Amino acid sequence: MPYAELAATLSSGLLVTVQVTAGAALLAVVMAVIAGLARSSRNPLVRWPAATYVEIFRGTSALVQLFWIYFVLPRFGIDIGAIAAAVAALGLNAGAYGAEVVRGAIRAVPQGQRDAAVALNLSPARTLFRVIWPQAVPAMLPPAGNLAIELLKNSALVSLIAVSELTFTAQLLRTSTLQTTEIFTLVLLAYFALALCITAGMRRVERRWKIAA
Amino acid sequence: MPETPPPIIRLRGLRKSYGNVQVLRGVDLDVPHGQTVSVIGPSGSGKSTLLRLLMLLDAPDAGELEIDGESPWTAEPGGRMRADNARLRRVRGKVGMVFQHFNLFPHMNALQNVMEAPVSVLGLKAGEARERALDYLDQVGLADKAEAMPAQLSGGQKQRVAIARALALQPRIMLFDEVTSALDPELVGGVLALLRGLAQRRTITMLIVTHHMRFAERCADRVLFFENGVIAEDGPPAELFHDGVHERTRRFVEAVTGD
Repeated sequence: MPYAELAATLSSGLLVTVQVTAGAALLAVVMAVIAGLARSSRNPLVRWPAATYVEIFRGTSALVQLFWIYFVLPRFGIDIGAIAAAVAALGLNAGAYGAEVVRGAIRAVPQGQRDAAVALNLSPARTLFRVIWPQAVPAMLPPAGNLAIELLKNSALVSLIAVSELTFTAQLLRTSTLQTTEIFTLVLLAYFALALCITAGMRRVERRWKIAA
Repeated sequence: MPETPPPIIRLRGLRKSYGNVQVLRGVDLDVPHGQTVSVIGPSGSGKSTLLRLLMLLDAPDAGELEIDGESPWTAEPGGRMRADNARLRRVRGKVGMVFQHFNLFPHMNALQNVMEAPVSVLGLKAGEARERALDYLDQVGLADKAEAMPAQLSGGQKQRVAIARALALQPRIMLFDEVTSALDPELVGGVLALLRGLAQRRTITMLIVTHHMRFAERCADRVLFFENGVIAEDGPPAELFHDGVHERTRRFVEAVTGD
């Protein structure tokens, strides 16, 4: 099979990889922001559940989390299907790491900024959203870009629950054509190209959030 | 005989430790409204901590702190200080503070820095807040820098924006914590002149922590000399700096000015 034909077959898998990664990234951002803010709270009742989530999803393997959601949850009557399980596992896993990025960036805003907000009598919510958050976001973006690329590469794991993404499609194609070298070279290049897209996208976001100097 | 009005600041036996370090070891102070007070003394003597407690940034460990007749803290039976949140916010509204390192919000321009609190704390409409902010920026001589970001301003300009930002809430008490210490020498004069102008109006009670002895002497009604967490000496500047009754202040001033 010529390269063009291999690439055409792989492109359907590529599309699924992009969709799963994008879905998981969206979930990860939501979880990271919620859990990161919650872990920054002074109230232990807010901090605790977030810490539990972060430690569980950081402390266990992403592959096992995926298997757990896909194979074990249905036994408790929760069967969300392979794609949703893939998005959930990858998103919750990346979100746990992201929560630490959010917490770290919030902590890194100088104490003087909080002092100034208190001295101006701003409410705690106003302080968070108007003073702390806009300064914390620029610090979150470079590590968030790292996590997004990590997430993209982890998405190959979901081939193991038969989601027909890039790696899964490649495996199928290999068994039918035996063109191992061509196929995995193309797959390698495809992941690399996607990673470059993420890097470029993050650059744009970083520029937008940059604090004018 | 006219009745003397109650002091706007009243402290009794105020104590504060950070970790194992006792920073304030029992401060008693009455400040009548409108007075300008310079606070001098060696570093680590508790001057800045006093301002942090007055701004209600930190809670005292013990003692009484009353601002304009209200005590935001009440001692619990266990000895810890408990805040009444509504009272805390109300009292904070009467006090403004300017910091050594300005602490401007770097993501907002000068105008937005000054407008933020009038909009979100006083509930002014954007138009009114803008007008008020421009007015205060004008008072500190920076009307033309309203659109400038903090990073584009000199240290002296940043500090003047910070002063405008605090004044825009129209506090009854202003606290200045070594506001010229982070400035290049040639920029100090402008900021001190601004403080002098404010002091002359006598509408705001001012506490100024400073290392500028001449400024403390000329602009203040009263000088507090801090040492080891207590007010060691307290009196009008002429008395503290010249009369020789206040030996410790004299020695400190000599050491600082090199006279």
